[in-house]
Amino acid sequence: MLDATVEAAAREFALKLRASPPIVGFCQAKVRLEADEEAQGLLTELQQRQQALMLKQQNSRGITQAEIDALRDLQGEAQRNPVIMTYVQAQQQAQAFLPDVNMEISQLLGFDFGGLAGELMMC
Amino acid sequence: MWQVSSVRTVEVSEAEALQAAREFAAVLAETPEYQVFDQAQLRLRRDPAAQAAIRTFQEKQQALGWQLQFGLLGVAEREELRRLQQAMLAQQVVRGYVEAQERLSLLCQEIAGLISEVIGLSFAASCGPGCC
Repeated sequence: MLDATVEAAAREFALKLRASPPIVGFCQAKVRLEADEEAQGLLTELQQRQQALMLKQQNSRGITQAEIDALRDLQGEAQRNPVIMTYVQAQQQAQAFLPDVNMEISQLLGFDFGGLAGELMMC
Repeated sequence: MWQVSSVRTVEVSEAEALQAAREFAAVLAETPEYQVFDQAQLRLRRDPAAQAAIRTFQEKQQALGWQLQFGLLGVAEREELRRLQQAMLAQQVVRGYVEAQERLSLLCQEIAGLISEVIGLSFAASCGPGCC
């Protein structure tokens, strides 16, 4: 349970972060991706085929060249889909901005905030 | 689920977001968890015996390199590493530091969870593994 002052400060910071261009871009791309039936269909099919091939591999059943080609075609189709690619790029830009934000916090505190929030480490 | 309208509200510059990060860090620096950790860190840095125990343990870890990483240590090496770790943790200053770090880590995890929920991305995962 977070202290009220800390929670308020964290929330205010998070809201400003969400309103910054890299995160706004990511949120908008995410909304578009979730609303786009073609992109959703492609991603679902891609996920199902990947899982099916992994399952075959785990059960030591051979994967045919035709299955590999079909998966590659689908991957290519996903990579040509503008909504999916816009989302991927927006996600990369947002993820590239977060380490800068973390650095800003960490420099002031003298420890790696994101690192400590993720896992324990011995300095 | 994000609403388009909610992400089209007032946009702030990256510089403003970084300023907000600094303001948040200043509040975090006032928490008991941080204050205790800061003191424990200071005590650790100033304690030659604790430093020596940490150095000995870390040097052994580095010497074992890939064998340790892949869990391929022999019984004697594993035992030696365990002994050095115990010697390190037997130092009260080291134990105090580890405990303070654990408490601060729990607080940071909770805060990072809140941030991730608001921005729709994992904050800690995006920052990657790092060290202080």
